Amino acid sequence: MDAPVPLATHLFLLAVPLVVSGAALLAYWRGRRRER
Amino acid sequence: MSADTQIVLVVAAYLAVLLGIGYAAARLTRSPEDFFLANRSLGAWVTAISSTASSESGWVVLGAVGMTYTHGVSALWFAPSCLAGYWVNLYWLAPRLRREAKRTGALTLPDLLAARFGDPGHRLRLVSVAIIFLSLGGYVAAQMTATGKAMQAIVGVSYPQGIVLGGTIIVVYTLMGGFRAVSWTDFFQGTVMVAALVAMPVLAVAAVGGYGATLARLAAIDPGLVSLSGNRTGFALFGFVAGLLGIGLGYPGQPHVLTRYMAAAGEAEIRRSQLIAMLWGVLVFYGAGFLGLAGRLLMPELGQPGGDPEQLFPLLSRSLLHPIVAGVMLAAILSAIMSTVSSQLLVAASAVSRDLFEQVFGAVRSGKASVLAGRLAVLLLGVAAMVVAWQEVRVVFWFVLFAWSGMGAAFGPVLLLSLSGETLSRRGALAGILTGFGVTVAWKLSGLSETVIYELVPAFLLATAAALAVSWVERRRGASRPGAPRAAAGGR
Repeated sequence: MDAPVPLATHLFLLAVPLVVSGAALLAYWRGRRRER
Repeated sequence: MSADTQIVLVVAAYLAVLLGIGYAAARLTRSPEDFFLANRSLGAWVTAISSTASSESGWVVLGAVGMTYTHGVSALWFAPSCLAGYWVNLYWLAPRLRREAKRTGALTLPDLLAARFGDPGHRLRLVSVAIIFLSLGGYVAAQMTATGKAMQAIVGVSYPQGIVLGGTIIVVYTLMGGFRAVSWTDFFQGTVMVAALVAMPVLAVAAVGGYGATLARLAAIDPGLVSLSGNRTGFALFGFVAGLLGIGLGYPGQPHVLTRYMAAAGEAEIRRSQLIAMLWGVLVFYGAGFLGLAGRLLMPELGQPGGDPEQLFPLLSRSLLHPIVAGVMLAAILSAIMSTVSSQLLVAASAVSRDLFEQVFGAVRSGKASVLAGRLAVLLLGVAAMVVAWQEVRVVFWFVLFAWSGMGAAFGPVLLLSLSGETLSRRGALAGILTGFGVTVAWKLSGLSETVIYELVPAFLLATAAALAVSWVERRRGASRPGAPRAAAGGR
């Protein structure tokens, strides 16, 4: 009863939130380094 | 004790916490800066979560969940769009807005516009106030309706009782503690929301059999549910995706969100709030999406005639969880609605008391009178919104259709251009604001939103063009007149 799921869907559901969170973390660390 | 009683007790405790926060904030509220901007003292967590919670209404816990239930993964295009809107607001607009508000002493968005562009005839302020009041006034009434219905469904009171109960609590804490109470309660409510929108989808996806099983079973029902296009092609696909992506354009123009950045204590608080708010957004948007996807498999009956996929969150909470935990989840729904309505109520009230009576009419002369006028405006507007919701005055709800996109197109382009250093003249700003709101209304009324593209996209682009074009013409005219003063150059 299971059917294949396109790779693009996995990327959309998993990679987008990970990339956004990673970018936010990176921006935060860079800001902190500049503060010091 | 019955399950319903336990749920009611949890919701009652939640409402009591809101009133407690309102009381604590009231003790710190003395000056107009306190009442309208929490004396510019918000920390990183409160700035972050109160801004995001106030921008996401009941739509995210009910509407977005129902949308992914119905359309599948393709409905989640709204998530990257909203996150892009968060990014522009937090990383780009927030630090500049805070600095500018502090420099000019602005307490409201019209204050800021008037100070930045110079506004001797109050035209800019009056137009801004009218747009804010029409948009947010209607929005508050509609959210009061949502509060009444949520209370009815969760606590079991009648619809009018729900409006009176929920509405009174919102009005009382907003009136007592002003901006500080609204921000603190939003922080509390935003925390409840994110906890619920992490816990519920995790439980729901686990109940289906995990991430892979959820997607595979959806694909077996209909491959369109797990495709990014949702079986749409050509112009239908473009309109659908562009419409969802267009939602994010609205964020830079929402006064009830922007005032949070104006109230942040400092640059360091803004920097920390950026990370917190982005993570909050990721969890809430994708949580709502995954809940809708798994919910389609757990409660397929909601997709049948007579079922309502938007009721997935409350119904699934009741069926999956212990009543006390379900009570917390249901409090999250109230949180989403109430955090938005209190923020909007305060901004709509400040448009009347601070911008109109104080700045235009000069009717309020002392700080004490300004706070009193603010409280009175909150009371009158709140009661009016409750009456409108109770009587279901349709003409007021009409304005809600334009609220998000109208304010987004009116204020977003002008703020982004002006704070990026672009030299906008006062007339240019006014042209941008009027074009943004006007095109939104005209596009929506002509039906093009349904057939071509979401109104915010053309309205945003045309408002940007109008602001730039009018400012450019004024600059040219100014330059061609020897000795003529330069057009008011955006206060730079």
